[in-house]
Amino acid sequence: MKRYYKWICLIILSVCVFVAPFLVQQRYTGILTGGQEYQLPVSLQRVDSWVPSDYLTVRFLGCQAPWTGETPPVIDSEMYVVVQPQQTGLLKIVRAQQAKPDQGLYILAKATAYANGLVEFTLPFDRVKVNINKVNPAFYQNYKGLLLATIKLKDGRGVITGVYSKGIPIESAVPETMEQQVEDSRIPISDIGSTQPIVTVTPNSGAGQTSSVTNP
Amino acid sequence: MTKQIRRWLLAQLPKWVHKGWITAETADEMRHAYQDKPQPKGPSITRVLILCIGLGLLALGVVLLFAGYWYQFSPNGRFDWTILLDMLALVVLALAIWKADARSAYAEGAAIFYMLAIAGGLLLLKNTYYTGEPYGIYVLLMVVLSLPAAYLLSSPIAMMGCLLELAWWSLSPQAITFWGGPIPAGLLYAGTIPFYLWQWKYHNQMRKRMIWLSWMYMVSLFSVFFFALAGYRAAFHLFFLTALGVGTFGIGTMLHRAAIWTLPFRIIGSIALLYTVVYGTLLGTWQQERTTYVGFLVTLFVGLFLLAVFYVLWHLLRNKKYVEALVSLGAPVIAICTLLAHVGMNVFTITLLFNLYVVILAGVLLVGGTTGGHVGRINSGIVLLLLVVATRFIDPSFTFIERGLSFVFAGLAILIVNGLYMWNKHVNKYSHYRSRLKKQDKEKADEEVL
Repeated sequence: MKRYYKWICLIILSVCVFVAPFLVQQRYTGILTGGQEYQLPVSLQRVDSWVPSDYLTVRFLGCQAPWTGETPPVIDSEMYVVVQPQQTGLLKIVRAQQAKPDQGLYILAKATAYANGLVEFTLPFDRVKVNINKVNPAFYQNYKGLLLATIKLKDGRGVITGVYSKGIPIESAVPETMEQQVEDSRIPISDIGSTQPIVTVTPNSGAGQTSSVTNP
Repeated sequence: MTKQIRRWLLAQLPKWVHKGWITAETADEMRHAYQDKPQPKGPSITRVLILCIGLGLLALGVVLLFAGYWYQFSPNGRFDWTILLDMLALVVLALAIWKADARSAYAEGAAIFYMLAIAGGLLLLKNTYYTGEPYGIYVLLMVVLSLPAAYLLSSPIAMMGCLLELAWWSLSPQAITFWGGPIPAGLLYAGTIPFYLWQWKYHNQMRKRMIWLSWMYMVSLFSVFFFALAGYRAAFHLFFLTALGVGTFGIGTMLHRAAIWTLPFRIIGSIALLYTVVYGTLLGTWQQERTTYVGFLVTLFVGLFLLAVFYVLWHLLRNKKYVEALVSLGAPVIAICTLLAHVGMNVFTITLLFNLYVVILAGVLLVGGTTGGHVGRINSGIVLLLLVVATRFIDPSFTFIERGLSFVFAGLAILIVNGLYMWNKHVNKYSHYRSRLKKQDKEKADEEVL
């Protein structure tokens, strides 16, 4: 038996080595299949990489919330942002806190700054997979118009499933004129969705199952 | 005994026999006892390193071939390539287990390849299935999958890689969950300790690797410890750190004659103690300490750590290492200061008390070093005093004017004292030169008279 213990250990290790990639994959697909889909306003950037990539960097707009906690947040550490879905599917940021909320919807975020009871944060899932050749470069070059990202959320973690301009997927959308962009940029983030066309999605729908409607 | 000394000794034996210092039988016995031990099979480590560079270039070439098209593969396609990489790693590992001797260069090379392939595969998957999470969970997987390989191949280099990954995991930003917290980090570190004890038996065959292994063990130990203290925001955190520093410093000091690989114990322990000196002299440290909660577990651990510190102190005193014992006394001093902070004593008084200890320690090091001729101790004393002064540069408890004037006066004092010393030396040298000239003239005059 002693002669074979190394090989027995190797077999157990091999199983673990093959399980690990499936574990990583399952964490991602678990969010995609089991997560609820919501929307948030975003802007896009293209970060130069040493290899040609298939994603754009997404920056969420309005990432600040009132802090509810006895001690200030620890900058650069993770915290929980409590969000509330509106009828339109857009997420409203309610508050941020250190402890995991017992109920309701929340996102794990990283605190970046704190002042006057308001905490600024970044959401970790900041990439959207697209066919970059089909995306008009104007969308990721200081675009001021309204872009909405559809995100799937599960247990505070998320994945971006798509980005839309006026309800049209970014790969087939046409950028707005500069005048329209300036007009869009004047809309307060809290009012987005109440007067503008937005993407409507059904719960558990996949990316692309979207339609453009105008909210009353 | 090193290889060089052994060879020198063997070369000297014929000469000693010829001179009659030892008999031929004694020489034979010595030759038998000190003859070169058989080297492990396989190429030397240098050769393996060069081969690794070649293999590395080959691997980089393959990476470049893939890099241009990587994102053109679907996520499932990338997943399949990663599985293939993992399979290759396992095949190499299996071949090494089958054919390579433990701790041989082949085993080390295979272990390095396996670890790089596993780590690379996981990072590629992180990029493919992107959720923006910190590296924590992926590094945890790397350590869990690499640790058995280090044991299977008995590879110190693989274990160094595991320890580095553990340090990376401990210091990387991540959510403190059960699986991403200090408990698994501590358990994994505990899982590496038998390997060190096991390698101890072969320290004569792998002296250099043993020293490097000791460094990695120390770095990883303090990283995990920092992680635990920061993760739980524990009370008495400075005491715990000092106690660990005292422990490693004490072990290193007591064993330093027995083995050179205990050097990292002393050095890392000393760095931890210097860290304590910097933070102990800051008012903010004690103000923050007051806000922490002292529960039952903390009290229990403080008691256990104090016991360990007193054990080290007792050993140092028994071996008449009084200066080292005074250094180790830092832990009980910090414990008392922390206790005083919690009972509500003015933080300024606490800082003053701690500064008093540091100044006494620096004085003892300077005086002891000067009288005993220990340059290391003199330097340690100077470093301690400099640290106490330098810490004020970032101490927000004092105004910029107070700090600025202190530094200006301290700098001027050093310049003036050294200037006076140099001037005095110059004058002495000049007067000595003149008196020597006078003496020579006088001798010449005497000779002429004679």
